[in-house]
Amino acid sequence: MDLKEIKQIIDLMKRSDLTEFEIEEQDLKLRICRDSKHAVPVVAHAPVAAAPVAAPAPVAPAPAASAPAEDKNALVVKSPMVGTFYRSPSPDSKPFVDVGTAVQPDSVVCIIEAMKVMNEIQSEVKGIITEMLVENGQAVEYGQPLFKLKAS
Amino acid sequence: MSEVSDAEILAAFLRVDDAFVSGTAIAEDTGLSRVAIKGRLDRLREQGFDFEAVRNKGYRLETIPGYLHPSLLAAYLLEMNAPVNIHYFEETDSTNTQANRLLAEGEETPFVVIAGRQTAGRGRRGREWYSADAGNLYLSLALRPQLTPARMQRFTLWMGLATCLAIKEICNIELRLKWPNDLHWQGKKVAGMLTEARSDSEHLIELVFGIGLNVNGVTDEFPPEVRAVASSLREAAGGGAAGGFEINIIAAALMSRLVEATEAYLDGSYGDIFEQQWPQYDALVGKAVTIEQAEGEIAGQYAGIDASGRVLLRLDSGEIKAFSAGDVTIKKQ
Repeated sequence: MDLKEIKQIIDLMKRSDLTEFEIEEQDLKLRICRDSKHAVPVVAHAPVAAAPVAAPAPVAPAPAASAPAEDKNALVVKSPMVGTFYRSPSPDSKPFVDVGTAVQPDSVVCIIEAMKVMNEIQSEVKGIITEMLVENGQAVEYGQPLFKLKAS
Repeated sequence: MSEVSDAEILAAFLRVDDAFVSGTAIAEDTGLSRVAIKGRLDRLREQGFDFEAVRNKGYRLETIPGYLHPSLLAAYLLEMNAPVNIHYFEETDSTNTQANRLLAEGEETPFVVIAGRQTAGRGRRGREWYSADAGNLYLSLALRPQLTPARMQRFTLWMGLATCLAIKEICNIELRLKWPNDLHWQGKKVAGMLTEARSDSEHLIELVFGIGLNVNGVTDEFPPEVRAVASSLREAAGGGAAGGFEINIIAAALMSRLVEATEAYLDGSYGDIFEQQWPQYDALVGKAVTIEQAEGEIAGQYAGIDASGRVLLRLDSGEIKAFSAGDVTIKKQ
């Protein structure tokens, strides 16, 4: 399966009511979830209505509606600066973390480039990544949530 | 450590310039016996030094190695009265990577890692830096600054400018700065810098500033793709440095200037020099440029930098837009 095919699946999902898709081949397991309301990811400390969060929880496969009670346990890694978000040390290397990665407080979770200083950002909390809130290469603001974690 | 003493012995020669030094004087300076000194000089002879020995006059330093030599480098630093904690490697993967390893081991800062060659020299976002030429400089300065990440905004710009000013002073060559901190000679890159930091949400924990400076590199011998865009101090000096520059002097002077520059940045005293000097060395003044972003290329007229060091572009619409990251290319006229 290549990127083009994955894109086709995503497009298909956008055009239908499908919110979850899973496929398993020899050496590939792909799972795509999306919020049926097409909403932007909800910031952790905004427990307004019990809006369904798109978080594809990797361990327990129950991504549909996360209760507000669970949100209270959610940890968030925020950007300490304005800059550009990178998921990996270089374009050819593996991402620092992914959904499902267990991190320690000193684990590097991403790089934020600000004025050509490549800042490795540490998690500061112990937990498991449940959601990536920012895309690779995206501009981020000071204090912007980058990752959501579940305390472990 | 014997290396320290070698540096002290060599410093005794540097102090008298080209004159003779008596064995007794070196013995007094270093606390070594005259026999031990003779042994040391013999060993240095094997490393590319040569000393003329004349009865009743002593020794004269005739030849120094044409490559980076840790004791000679340390001797120059002693002479400049610039104590710098140096970790020298004949070859390493990357001085930034090595500095990060030393930081992780708890090495006291500030310190400098310098290497004769790098096997995996790198730039921004994993780009390669050509590092096989032992006539060039590869060094990294490591710090544990007590600053908030937000206060680092102009750091890389300032370090680029400080390098430019140091090269003007040491080699009398005026390079140009291409935002944020590439050093150019007639549009070709002479030095590149890579700053890496580790931060938590409030503080900068560690900082490594790395620089690759093409000193004596003969770009004809560089790989073709590098040759087209690279230059060196030797080439910039034209006929003025036919035999090339003494790399140990340049390394020592640059290191001490860079350490000073970081101190000036941390205590905030750099601001006036930065604001005065940046426009003098700015390669982009009056140029039409494009800036490459993740979302695509944006073209405009260069309009200087703002107070936080971001590059300003005047777009066709007349709007002025600030950018904090991206590759700037000067448009061909």
